[in-house]
Formats: sequence, structure tokens, C-alpha cells
Amino acid sequence: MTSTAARSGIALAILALCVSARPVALSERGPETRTATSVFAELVEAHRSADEATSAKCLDALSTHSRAVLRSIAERAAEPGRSADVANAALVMLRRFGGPEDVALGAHLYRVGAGPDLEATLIAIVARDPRTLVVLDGLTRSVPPEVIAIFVRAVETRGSAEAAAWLARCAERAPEVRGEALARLGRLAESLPNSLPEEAREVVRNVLAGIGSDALRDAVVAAGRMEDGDSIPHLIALLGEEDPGLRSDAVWALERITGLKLRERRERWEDWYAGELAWWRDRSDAAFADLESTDVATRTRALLELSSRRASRDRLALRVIPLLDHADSTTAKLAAWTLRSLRAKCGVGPLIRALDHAESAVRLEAWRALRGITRKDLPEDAALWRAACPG
Amino acid sequence: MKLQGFRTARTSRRGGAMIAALLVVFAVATLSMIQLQLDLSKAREQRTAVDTKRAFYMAEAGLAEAFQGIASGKSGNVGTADEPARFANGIFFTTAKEEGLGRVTLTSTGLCGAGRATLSIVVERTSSSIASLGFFGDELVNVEGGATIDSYDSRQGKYTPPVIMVGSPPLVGAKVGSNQSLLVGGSSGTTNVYGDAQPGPSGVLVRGRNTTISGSTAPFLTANMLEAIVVPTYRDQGSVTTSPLKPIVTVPAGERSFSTLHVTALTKLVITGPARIVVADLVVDSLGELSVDASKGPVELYVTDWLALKSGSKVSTGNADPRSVSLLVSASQVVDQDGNGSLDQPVTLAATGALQGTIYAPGAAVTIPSSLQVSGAASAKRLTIGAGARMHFDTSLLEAGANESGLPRLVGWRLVELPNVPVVKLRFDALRALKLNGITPVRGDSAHFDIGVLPP
Repeated sequence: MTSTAARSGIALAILALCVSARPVALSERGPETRTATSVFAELVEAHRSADEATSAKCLDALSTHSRAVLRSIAERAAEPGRSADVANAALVMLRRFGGPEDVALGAHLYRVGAGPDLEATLIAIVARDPRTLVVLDGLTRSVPPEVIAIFVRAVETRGSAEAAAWLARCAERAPEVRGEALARLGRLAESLPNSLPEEAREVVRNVLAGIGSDALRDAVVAAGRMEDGDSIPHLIALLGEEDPGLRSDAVWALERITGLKLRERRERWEDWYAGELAWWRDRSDAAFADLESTDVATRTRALLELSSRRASRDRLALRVIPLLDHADSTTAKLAAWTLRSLRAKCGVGPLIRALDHAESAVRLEAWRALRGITRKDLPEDAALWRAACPG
Repeated sequence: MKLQGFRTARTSRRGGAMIAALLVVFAVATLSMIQLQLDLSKAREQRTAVDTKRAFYMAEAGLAEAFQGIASGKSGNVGTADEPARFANGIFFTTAKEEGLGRVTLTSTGLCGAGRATLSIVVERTSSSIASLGFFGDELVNVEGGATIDSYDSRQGKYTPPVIMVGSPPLVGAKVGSNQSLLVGGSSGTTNVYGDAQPGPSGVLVRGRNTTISGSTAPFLTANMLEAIVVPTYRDQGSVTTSPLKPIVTVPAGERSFSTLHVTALTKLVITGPARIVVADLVVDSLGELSVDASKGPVELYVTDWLALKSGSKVSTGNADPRSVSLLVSASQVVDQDGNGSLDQPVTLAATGALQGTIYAPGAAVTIPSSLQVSGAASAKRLTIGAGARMHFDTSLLEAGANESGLPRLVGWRLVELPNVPVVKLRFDALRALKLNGITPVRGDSAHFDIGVLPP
């Protein structure tokens, strides 16, 4: 009798377990009563069938579970032998909940053809936490090139000077993706309101100096987009190359950097650059000294002279920037105008400060200069400019 | 005595003063004449200089007029030596000489008073049409691994594969571009773009392994707008479905509209030019064939809802001039077109064969597979050139056609010798001479010649 009752009890328990294990839709049971694993199983199915509404519900349900639980699910999904659908669903989960510490796990979840999923996940994590860049730095040594390329695409979306520096480091370390990293570095530099860090520009110049590199043309375009004056001698040297495409890109970059239209005539570029160098050698010290003159006319002449230069514009701008705070408002105004002529991104911060200048004429010229340099159409409001051009 | 002396003195001085006076008068008159001659000569010199200067500007005006003419679809010839065009108080005539590859030499002679000047420039015709951009995508262009994009000029014959020899200059002329990013090459195969591959102003070019781009890779300075297609409206002639009972159906020349053109297996639809056909759904089943005959005139095929050239179907355009076959797809919606429960892209090009023409689908994603060779150009919202595909850009599309044009590009400028024509040899004001001969020159803007019309 007892054994019969015991058998019945066991049978009931098994039945109860079976019933509880039956897969049910989210609508039938509340998320709080379901295990994370079962919700994840539903997420796998929803992601496979591109059912975004159910995917979103599953992610909401998973949000009630602890990070440790979710991470353990993702770790199991990354195990060898798991299907691509499971790995991709785990990437979707990390997209919502992941942090910098989960980036390596994300890379392990990558399967062939899952590039967009990994990219979207990394973009989300990078956007949430800039420390992710440090983690990615370490990972570039251990993941395959196709995953590094996904890192490159994700980091570019961060859109900051740190991201630019990361791309430059990646271009230096990972030759397989050097071209793409440089191309994206160039585009990022173009969109940033401030100058790139010198080490990032140095990487581009190093590639330019190494004629024959696979990424040479990407570096040429990147130098043009960065408007890096120190790349000019390398670019002029490329005008002597046989490859017409390379010459064409070099001319584009030179014209972009200098604003001159000397076409594909190497001699003319060389003559012009020799003139610039001669100015730096023979005239620059006197012009810089004149900037500090007590005579307004002398200062004005010096500023006009500087504004006509086309090479090493950032270095010139650094000499001009202190004049934005000059006691003479005419000089301060002319300094803002000179920065605009030089199109020097290093002048953006000081020009934003000049928007608070006591003289309206200086404020107006600083605003014009900011619009010209950054190509942003913002009103004459320092707060708005600070928000648009952080750092 | 005194009186006698007085008389003697007077007698001795008689006529002397007069001679002296005459000499003075003569001298003054001579000097005056010399001065007059000098002044006249100076005035003549000045007038000649002014006339020469005016003639120079007159010649410049002639060049500007011809430039304007080319920009608006004219030949560049303005006036003739016998009947020049008038501008202010002078005349000019401009001749245009086709130099090939879209270049035109314009030579303008200006005459004003006694001044004459001849100037010459070389301009390059450019086209404002999207077809001139080659293989172009608004959002993305993806040239997959192993694909090759080169160029040819359909005016010099049909496409023949280029012979690449060691040491020969690299091939150029092809055009691939995007308003955003451009992906060229993949992980497998050798990808060649024999020409430019340019991303958009804020786009980026990403190259795969073993990729050659012989032209520019610099980003475009400005984005190129893909204009919406203006679909003409004609009376709807219903649906046409081919059947094995009548395996070849011909759509004759003319302007027509259809709800559906459905080419079933083992049948053929022939569209004969000159034709402008509007169709909502154009479907070619596997083993069906769509043939376009543009030998007698251009064919424009507008597809508004669904273009499906299914796998195993065939497309042929004969040896058509790519400028005379246009496939314009205004469809953009991804919907279930055939009711099989799955969504259909507005454009499916899975056919085999050769399409010599242009494809324009500004609202749709287009994938051109390796089985379909396109000679001409293709533009789409998102364009994918399939792995191993062979595309040939027709450089004649760079030139403005008869009904559309872009701004010509100045290539060179120089002063040249005066032409050996009677009007230039006249020693006086040519405008007055023409009027005396009963010729009243017309204004420059009325003196243009159309393309193909040679000045007498």
C-alpha cells in the first residue's frame, strides 16, 4: 500500500515536472515565473524568425535576472558546437545587457555570417562605456582579422578622439585591417570638431612614408580628410609615382589640405612647398615676434602674413590663439579671422571661449570662425558650441 | 642827303622781313604738320589698341556664348565667318571642332573696328545624368570578390575585353561610386576596378583582399542626388502573359502601358523600339526570355511595382547602343508580390545574358549577378555587383546627350592666329562693311547651331 502511494507520488511529481518544463509562450506565463534559460530559448527562436516584438519581450523578461545568470547563459552559448542561432541570440542579449567585460565573450560568440550581430552588439557596448576601447585594444592581438574589422567598424561609431587614437593603434598593429582602419580614421577625423591626437596623425604619416604598402591609398585619403599639413612632403613625393590612381588621390589630398589647385604638377607643388619652408626658415620668427609688438599695425601685418600660409596651419594657429585674449579688441577680432583662414581645428576650443568676449565684434568673428572651421551651423551661443564640440 | 640815305636804307631792307616771316611761318607750319601727323598717328595707335582690346573681349564673348551653348545642348558653333553674330559694336563667330572623347575645341574670332583677335579653348562635355556616374548606389555599393568593372566606348564599337600587357599603362575609365560607403572586393577572388571607385562625402571606401583600383579613390565633394522617376501615363492595355501556344510575343514600337508583362517558361517577349513602355509588374520566369530590340529607336521601360527576372531567365538587347535602352524602376516596396507568403524585393535580376543599357532604380536594392553582363551603367538605392560579375561602363554616357547636359569642363585656353577669311582681312570696321553688303548680324544667343548641323 505504502509502495503504491509512493509510486503514485513519484508519478505525480514527474507529471508536474513535465508540465512545468512544457514550453509556453510569454503570454501564458509571467516572465518572473520563468527561468532565464527558457526565456533565452524563446529569444533564440524569435531572433531566428526575425520576430522583433517577441525578441523585445524576451529581453524585457531577461532583464529581471541577474547579470551573472545572463552571462552564464551567454558563456554556454559560446561553447563549441552550439548553433549559430544560439550564438546570435546571445549576442542580442549582450547588446542589451553587456559591458566592457563581455566584449571578449562577444568575440567568442562570433560565427561566420554573424558580423552584423556582433557589430551591433559592440556598437551598443562601446556607446555605453568608453572603457570598452581598452578591452578591445587587448583583444586585437588574439582574434581573427574579420573580427578585428568588426571592432574597427564599431569603434568608429564612438566618434571621439579616443576612438580615433584606437583606430590609429589598430592600423599600426593589425596589417590585415590597416586599410579599413585608416579609411575610417580619416572619416572620423573629418567629422570631429577638434584636431586628432598627434600619435594618430603620426601613424598615417608612417604609412605614407612606406611606399608600396597595401594601405597606402587609404592613408593618402585619410591624410587629406585629416587635413594634416605635415603629410604634405610625403604626398608631393607620391606625385612621382607611376600609379595614376595613387597620383590622383595624392593631388586630391594636397588640394584638400592646402586649398590650392595646382593639379598633378609635381614641380609646382615642390616650388610652393619650398616657398613655405623658406618662409618658416627666414620669416617666421620675425612674424611671430611681430605678433607680440605693441604697435597695432605691426600685429595686423603679422596676422595677415600668417593667414596666407597654407602649410603647418596648426602650428601657426597655436601662435595666433593667445591673441584672442588680447586687450585690443581689433587684434582679438583679427586673430579669430586668421584662425578661420587657417581652418585650424586646434582653434575651436579657444574660439568657443571667445564667444564670451566682452566685445560683440570679437564674438561675431569667433562665431564665424567656428562655423567655417567646424562646418556646424549653430547660433552664437557658447553653451551650444561647447555641447557640440566637447573637449 | 639824309633823305637819300633814308631811302637807300629802306630800299636795302625791302622784302627781308617778309622772307624771314615766311620762313618762320613755313617752319611753324611744318612743325604743326609734324605734330598733327604725330597726334594722328598716336590717335590711330590708341584707337587700334582699343579696338584690339575690344576684339579680344569680343572673342571672349564668343567663347562664352559657345560654352553656354554646349551647356544647353548645342554644338558650340555660333555664327559663321560670312554671317557672324553681333555683340555691342562688334561681331564674332565661333567654330566647334569635335576632338573625340567628349572634347571640343572652340575657336572664337572677335572683330571690333580695326581690331581682330582669335582665342581658342578646349572643353570637355560632361553629363548631368546619373548614368554618367557609372555603377552607383545611394546608400551603399558592394562590389563582391572576383568582380571586374572596366570601361569601353560604345561609339567605337561593342565591348571587347581589354588586352592587358606587362608594362602597358593601367586601364582607366570605369566608374563606381556611392553617396555613402563603398565596399570593393571580398575575401576571395581578385577584384578589379579599372577606373575610379569613389565613396560619398561622408562615406568610406573599404577594400578587400586582392583588390585593384586603378583610378581615384577620393571621396566625392558633394552627394549625387538620385532623382525620383517621373513615370509617363498612357492608356492601360491590361496584362500580357506569354504562353507556349504563342511563344513569341512582340510589343510593337510606340507608347504603351500594361498592368503585367509575364513571360513564362520557353517563351519570349520582344520589345521593339522606338518605344516607351510602362508596366506595373514585369516578370520573366525561368527559361523565359526578354528581348529588347533598339535597332530602330530607343526603348524606355518603366517598371512601377515589381521587376522579377527570375533565375534561369534570359535577357538580351542585341548590339544596342547602351544609351538607347533604359530600364527605369520606380518600385520601392518590399511586399509579397506573388502571394506565396514570402516578401519580394522590388527588383530581382537573376537572369542570364547581356544587357546593353542603363538600369536606374533609385528606390530599390539591386543585385547584378555574375550571370548578367551589363554594358552601360546602373544606379540603385543599394547596388551589389555579384561575386565574379563582369560590368562594363560605357564612357559615352559621360557626354551630354541631345536632351540633357551638364556644365562643360574647361581643359585649355590659348591665343591663336587669325583665320584666313575675308571678313578678317577687311582694313576697316567689319560690322559697317557687313551692313553695307546688306547683312545684319543677329545676336549671339540666336546664332547657335544644333548638334549635327554643320555651319555652311
